Amino acid sequence: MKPILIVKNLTKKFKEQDVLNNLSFEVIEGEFFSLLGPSGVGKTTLLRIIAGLDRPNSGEIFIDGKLVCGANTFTGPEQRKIGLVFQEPSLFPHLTVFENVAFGLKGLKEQDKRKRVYELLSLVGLENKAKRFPSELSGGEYQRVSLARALAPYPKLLLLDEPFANLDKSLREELREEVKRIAKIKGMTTILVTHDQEEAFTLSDRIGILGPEGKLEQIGSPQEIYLKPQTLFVARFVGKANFLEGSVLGGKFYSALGVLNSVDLSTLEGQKVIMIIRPEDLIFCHDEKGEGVIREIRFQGSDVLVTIETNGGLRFIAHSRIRDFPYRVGDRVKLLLDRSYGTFLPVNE
Amino acid sequence: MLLRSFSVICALGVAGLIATPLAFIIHSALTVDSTLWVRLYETRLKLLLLNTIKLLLGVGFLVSLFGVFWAWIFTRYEFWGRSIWQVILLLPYAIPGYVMAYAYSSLSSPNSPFKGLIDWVTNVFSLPSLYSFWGVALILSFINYPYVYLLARASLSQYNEVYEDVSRIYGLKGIRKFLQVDLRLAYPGIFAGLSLALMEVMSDFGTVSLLRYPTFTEAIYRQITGRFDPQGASALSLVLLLLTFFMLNLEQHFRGKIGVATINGKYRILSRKRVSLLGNIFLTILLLGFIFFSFFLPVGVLLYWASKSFSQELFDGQIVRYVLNTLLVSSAGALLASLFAFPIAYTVVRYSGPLRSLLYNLGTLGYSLPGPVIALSLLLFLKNISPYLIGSLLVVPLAYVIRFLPVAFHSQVASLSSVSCVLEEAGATLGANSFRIFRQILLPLMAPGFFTGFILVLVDSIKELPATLMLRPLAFDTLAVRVYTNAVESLWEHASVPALLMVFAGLVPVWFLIKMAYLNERRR
Repeated sequence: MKPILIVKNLTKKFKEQDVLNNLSFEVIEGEFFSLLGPSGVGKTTLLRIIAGLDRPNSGEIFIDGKLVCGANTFTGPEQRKIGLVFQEPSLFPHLTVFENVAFGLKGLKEQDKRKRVYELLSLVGLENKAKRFPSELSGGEYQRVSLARALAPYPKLLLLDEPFANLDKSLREELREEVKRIAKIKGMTTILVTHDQEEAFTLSDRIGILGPEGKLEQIGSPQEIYLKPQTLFVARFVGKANFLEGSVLGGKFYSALGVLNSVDLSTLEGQKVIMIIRPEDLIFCHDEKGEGVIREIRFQGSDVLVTIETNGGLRFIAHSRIRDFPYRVGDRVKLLLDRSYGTFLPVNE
Repeated sequence: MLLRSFSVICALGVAGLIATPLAFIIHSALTVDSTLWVRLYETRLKLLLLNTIKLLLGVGFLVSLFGVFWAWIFTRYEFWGRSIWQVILLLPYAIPGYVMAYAYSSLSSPNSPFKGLIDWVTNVFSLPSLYSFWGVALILSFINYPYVYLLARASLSQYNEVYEDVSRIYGLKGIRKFLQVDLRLAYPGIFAGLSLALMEVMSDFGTVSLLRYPTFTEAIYRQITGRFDPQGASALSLVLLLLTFFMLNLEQHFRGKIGVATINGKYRILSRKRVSLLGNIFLTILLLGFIFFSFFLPVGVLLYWASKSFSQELFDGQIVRYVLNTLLVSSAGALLASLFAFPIAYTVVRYSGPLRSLLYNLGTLGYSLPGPVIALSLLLFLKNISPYLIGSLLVVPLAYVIRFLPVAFHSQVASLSSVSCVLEEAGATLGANSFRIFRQILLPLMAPGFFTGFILVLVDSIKELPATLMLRPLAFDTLAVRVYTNAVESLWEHASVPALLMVFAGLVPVWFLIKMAYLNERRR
């Protein structure tokens, strides 16, 4: 479990404003790591700093145990042994596919170079396009060649900057699978920058959520991120969620929906807290004396999205199975909170 | 990155090289004492300013008329031979002003076989003499109207058919619609072209000199060659520079506005109206007349004198030497200008700092420096630095570099902007150092722009007259110098062959113009 990339206290300012705010994280050898966040939070900046294309204001970066960026050290991108696939078209338009993939291969014999280029082209399924020019490739082929070119020098670290963003949906999914397959075959340590949740969740071993003001909100496996969001931002940004305000007194959670005996709320004693409940964790049933009324029912194909309004005017959403769905708009229901299906976060005032 | 810092340093060096000689003129002009200024104003400045303003107004009116009229016709109407005419219409741009002045003045000279005819026509229509304000204005308008025409055309052809519908809904028709809709949309292009044309007028030396219409350039030339008075010449130069700087700023102001009024998204290009039979006949006569006086007549006159020079065996092997001389200094100038322009172009395209606009201004400065001013600045500069270089072969190309650097600069900027900086970054992440990125990525991709710039500077240098005239080594004659010196002496036959060669060279940029202007339109 050797870390290939270590980032320590990285800060980047742009015109006095924090783009990246004191970030620290590690990426382990062979891991597929995604940086997920809304657009405009400095994800690409972070990737460019790791690649050596931009300089941070402070902080340290180690690649494979070597300090490449620190207070008095800066290694240029050409010496960092990384591969980068850009979002924009980046193949050299005047070179053939073969020459593009071979561009990063230095100090190899002509024969070995050939072998390597064809090895990578066959990995992406394009060995028959070696003599083409980039302008003669389709969008999917173009990014496949970009990937092959980045992988050709056998980099220590592969960086992907939203490489599928400019492709249409079906091609994006196809290429996504392919990237995952190739990364696993090569045992490649990969960092993907994306604003697409589905992309991050399907591909990654671990995800880092980058929030506004350039803070790293949470790092964890896709399940952890979804089920145990550590900040309100993460809860809001990833998937859908219900937010129930309340306070903790004597180990109990008091809210508009009643009192909940919880397992362990001792650290939050005496504080205002928010309980985060994913829609599929919110259970409800018919009850003439219940506090909620069903306001909207939306059939979404695989499940049903139900909007429930309480007497106090709070709105909740719940997912329900489509089979044996007995409810209608206007039905009175009771909401059942389950302490083990919620996450409690303190409210920062 | 290394490449970036290196180019910034080089760019600053080049900028210094261009700015230093200028500083000498300004310094020399500012140390002129007030009594000299007063005397200059009384004896020369008043007349020069008046003449210049008159010329600017006259040429400004004519180039706007020609340029906007033809741009309007070609973007809105479909008529006989339209696609051929739009190529022919740019031919006058190939003729240097002094060549056209020479052709026309030779036509009415005492030893011209057409003198009788010309005099008769002049009398019948009571035309003003060629050696007058109107002669100069007309010739300068013929060769400079393409600036207005091309930029106005580019603006007018961006016209969206939606405007036509909107005008109809609001009941705008005829001349009111033309003024309130079409011209309102196209005016930045028209004014940018007008500023360029007028800048050329202020820089012109050969035409006004041959037709004896004193302006600043001519006066500076006399001040230097006649009575070697660098102080007076500097003072005149400073006034001229203020005028041309103003014009350059105007041009950039309007250029920035081009395209502001275009609608993003869906575009309906206006379909051209078919012209009636009568209209076709009228347009054809108009076009024939225009192109006859602006191109075929002067070139025909040159051919006539050239044929005489063959029959009189005046045409000797010397011409080869003039061609070689011309190519030597011009290609040296073009090569140096291309090399010097590169760091400035690269910095301007890739760098975004306070330096950027400074370098951009220095890159385009040469446009506003008339040849005599550059010659004077180099003379003053060398006098103070290394006097023995004055009159050496090195100085002429240097003048070309300063004057025509913007030409190379613009074509390099255009090609560099199309090379995404992502390509350089991709190269870096693949382990290539700055030198390799430059050699294997940047250079091959911007080669066309580099080459175009080189050729355009080459042709401009071949046509350049005043700086060559003032800075050349003794008895070192180029084609331009031959045309001018012979035309001054009324040796029409001697001037003809060099003049024709120059018109041929001038066709090269016309070809580039046609390719750029019309291909872009078709692509849209």
